[in-house]
Amino acid sequence: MTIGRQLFFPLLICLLGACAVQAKDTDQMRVLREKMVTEQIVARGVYDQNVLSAMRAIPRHLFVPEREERLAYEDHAVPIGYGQTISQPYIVAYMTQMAQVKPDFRVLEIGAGNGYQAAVLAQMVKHVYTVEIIPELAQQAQARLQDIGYDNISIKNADGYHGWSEHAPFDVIVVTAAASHIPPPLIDQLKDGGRMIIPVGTPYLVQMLVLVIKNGDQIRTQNLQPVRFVPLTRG
Amino acid sequence: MRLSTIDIALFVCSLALIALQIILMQALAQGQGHHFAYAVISLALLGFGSSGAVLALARNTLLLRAEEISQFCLVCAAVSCLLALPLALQVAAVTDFPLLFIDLRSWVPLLASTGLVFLPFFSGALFLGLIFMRDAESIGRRYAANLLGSAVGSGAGLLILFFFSPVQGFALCAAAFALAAWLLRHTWLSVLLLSGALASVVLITEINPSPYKAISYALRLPQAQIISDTPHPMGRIQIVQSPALRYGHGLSLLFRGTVPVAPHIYRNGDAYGVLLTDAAVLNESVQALPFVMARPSNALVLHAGGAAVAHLLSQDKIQIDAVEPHPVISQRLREQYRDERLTVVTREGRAFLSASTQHYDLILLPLQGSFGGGIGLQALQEDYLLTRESFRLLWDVLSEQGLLAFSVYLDQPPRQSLKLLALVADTLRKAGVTDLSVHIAAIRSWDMLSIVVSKQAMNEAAQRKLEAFSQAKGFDRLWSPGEGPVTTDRFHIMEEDRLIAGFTALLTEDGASAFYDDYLFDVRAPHDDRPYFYQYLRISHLKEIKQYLAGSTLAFVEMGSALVAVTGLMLTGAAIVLILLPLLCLGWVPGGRLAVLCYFAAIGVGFMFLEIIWIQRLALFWGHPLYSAAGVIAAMLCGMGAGSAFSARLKASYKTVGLILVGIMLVIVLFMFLMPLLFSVGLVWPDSMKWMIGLIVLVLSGFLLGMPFPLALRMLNRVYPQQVPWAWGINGCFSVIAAPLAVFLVMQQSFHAVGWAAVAVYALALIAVSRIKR
Repeated sequence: MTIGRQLFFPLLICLLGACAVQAKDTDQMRVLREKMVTEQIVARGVYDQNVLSAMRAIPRHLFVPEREERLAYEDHAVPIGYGQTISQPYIVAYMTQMAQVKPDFRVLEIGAGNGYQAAVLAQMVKHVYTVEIIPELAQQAQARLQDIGYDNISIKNADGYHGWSEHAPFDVIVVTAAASHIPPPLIDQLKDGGRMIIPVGTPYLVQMLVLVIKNGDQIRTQNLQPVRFVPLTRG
Repeated sequence: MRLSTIDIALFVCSLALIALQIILMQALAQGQGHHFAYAVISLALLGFGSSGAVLALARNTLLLRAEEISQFCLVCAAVSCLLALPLALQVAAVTDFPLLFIDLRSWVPLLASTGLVFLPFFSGALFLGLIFMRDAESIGRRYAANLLGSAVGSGAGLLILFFFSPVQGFALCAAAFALAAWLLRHTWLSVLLLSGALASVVLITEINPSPYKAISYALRLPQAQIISDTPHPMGRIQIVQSPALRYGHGLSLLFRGTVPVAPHIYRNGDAYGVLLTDAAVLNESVQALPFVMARPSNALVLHAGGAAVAHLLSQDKIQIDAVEPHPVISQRLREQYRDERLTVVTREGRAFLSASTQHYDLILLPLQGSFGGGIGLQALQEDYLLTRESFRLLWDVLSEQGLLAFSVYLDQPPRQSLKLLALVADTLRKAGVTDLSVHIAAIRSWDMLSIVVSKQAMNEAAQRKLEAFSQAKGFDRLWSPGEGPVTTDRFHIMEEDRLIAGFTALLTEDGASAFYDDYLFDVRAPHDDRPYFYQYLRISHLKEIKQYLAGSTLAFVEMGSALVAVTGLMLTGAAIVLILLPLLCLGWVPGGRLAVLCYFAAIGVGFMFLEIIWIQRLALFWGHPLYSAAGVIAAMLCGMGAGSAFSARLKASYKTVGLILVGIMLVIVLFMFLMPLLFSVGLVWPDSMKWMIGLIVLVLSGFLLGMPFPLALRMLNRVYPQQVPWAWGINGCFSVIAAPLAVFLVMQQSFHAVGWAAVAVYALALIAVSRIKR
């Protein structure tokens, strides 16, 4: 009886949330989203039509706290609580384009945050596995993605440094949190021919977005561009 | 009896005001990553200048109730130390510096914290000014108490930082102000404040560091804990441990072992080093290059707080001298690495090199930079280890078969790597080497570049070792001795052209100067006259840099210089609003306007130029910028006080002032030429001797610098007495502006350039004073 009561209210909240999701993607938000894609993403050279379609389709404002909703389509990162942010739209699009994902890919994301990057990837691949170290964010992201209806995203609350070995190897690994070095376990979990995008450098200051490509015994890297991300691990 | 109580109150207040400046510099170093000595001095002067304006405007009202208002000022100073300063630090901590150049809202915390820091200086200075004005007949005694307190305050500030955190230091200053208030009038409020301040010293430990600091990141890691925390004027040392705090920099991506977990050392919240116990993993990193190329029998590691000591100890049959200037870190190294092969020396690297008679097979420099490039805040920090003069000393202590080695994080666009190479190239050329290309080997991982410089030309065997190691670990050969850059089969793709082009140009005689002229950033080898290794901004190339960044803000790559400009503008605005605008109420009296403006502005600017460059130059001589700030402030105040007192005996005439100004110009020129000599000879002297000689020189020059202001004020009082408050105001205002201007000029030009600028402004004062006479 007690358990039933405990479940009833969260379920009710989820149900109301799901209704709200449908209700809140208004024409105004769609206009803002289109503007975001045209002015911030296409204008900066992102050309992959699949990425652009995903960015147009996903209601980004549902991934930010309600009080920050007005900032959802602005050209910068937005705080989502717990010292974390949802990345700037252009960076999400750019990283996704550089990952060169295909429909049959299995992708590992490190640093789920609010689940937005996972949602973008999930539009384009078979399955996304995402790891988030902050339990509250992991729970929120799971609830939100379920509400929106994603069934090809799995979320785990753990330290992303160690990846998700049970589901390895992955075609692509996308790290959305700053690391001081490239974690060897992530290279291990990358499929032969796989690609990893990771921001590496000084936490909270400037990092370099690095593309790692695994080819047999050889690991090659390419420095892409300087960025600012929040740190990889936060206890 | 009553008079002597006021003297004691003056002494205590002056002591607290100067101690507060020193403590604040340390607090900013901890909170923001740089001591901002120039900004603290400017803010203190702003407090004095604006209190002068208030005294000029409300002289009669204030004098009517001088005693009550004096006590009120001291109470305000105490309260602001206790509440406003910790609040200012907390507010400043959330300032996101890179956003200052993008988002106007980011200015709010910066402006708010600046306003809060201004309060104790304004209140304290108002008390001093009011007492001086009221007790004009016994000004000599009052002034002596003020000067003595100020001189003692510098030392007291440093002493406090040995035992207390800056916030506890603020509370001690609050206690001093409260004591001064109690000395004036024995009220319950003073007693309450004194008790509260003393209780705060015990109860308050520290405020949270800025979330943008490396230590804040470390403390967020799972199970992170501070295992050691020691306050020190040279920087608070904290050691943090967490199972997620690993060290894997420069590591080969082929490495599949466990990246070691190790306690990390933080100085003022910034990453400083790692206490590795098992350094075997470093053999998988580019940092292993010197051990691949040679088997050294002895090694010197400079500023040894990093993992280099552990790496050296993991080698066979090697004697190690580790030089670390910070006494807390060097003690920790001794405790951590108990090995008879290791000798830890607590000394500044330059001083050690100057005194060394030993020759080393391997010299390791500290790891430089951060991956991707910093955001330029380091640009403000003078570094006398990475200058041409320092590298020549390094070359001299290298044995005939010796290697000089260093690793640097890769930045984009390349700056720090090329500047280090420029230093190496300059050193080799000065040593008479004609073919530089055979003395250098360089490899890089995806994040780090490692360079080895050999005293002897390297041969084909060295080439083969380099190739085998690079292939095995997946590193790129950036420069192979005798071969140059190996461009085939790259593992790590980055801004190839700029780094390779830089290497190729800098290592050839003809290419270097053209490269320096054309390159977007300033990568010329720094020297003692402009010791800013991390300053790369070229004002002349701003347009090209902006084009290169294509939409990214300049602050991403060069925030240090921009921050000096920003703080300079902010302080200029504050000086105009708080000092000059209030004086407009007095009205501008006709007669000699331009001359008064020029003279008092010039001597304000000239004096601050000298104070700032002495603080920066003597940081090398005395071992730390905070020591030099304390020494220079104390000595200059004593010297200037004595000079000012002595000037009362001189006739206030154009001739007298003119002679003194010429004397000052000669002293500046003399210093510009003697300073390098002092550094080359005096660095090996014992610390006590260095301090004694430095202080004597500063007191003597302060003696001269203290005379032009009171003498000219007396002249002005005779011809245009109504303009005396304006003279105070203009002098104060331009002194505030001059401090950041001096730092900016040194960063863009050199100490010599600022020295000559000081000569020029004193020459301008010489011309202007003749107009005042008329």
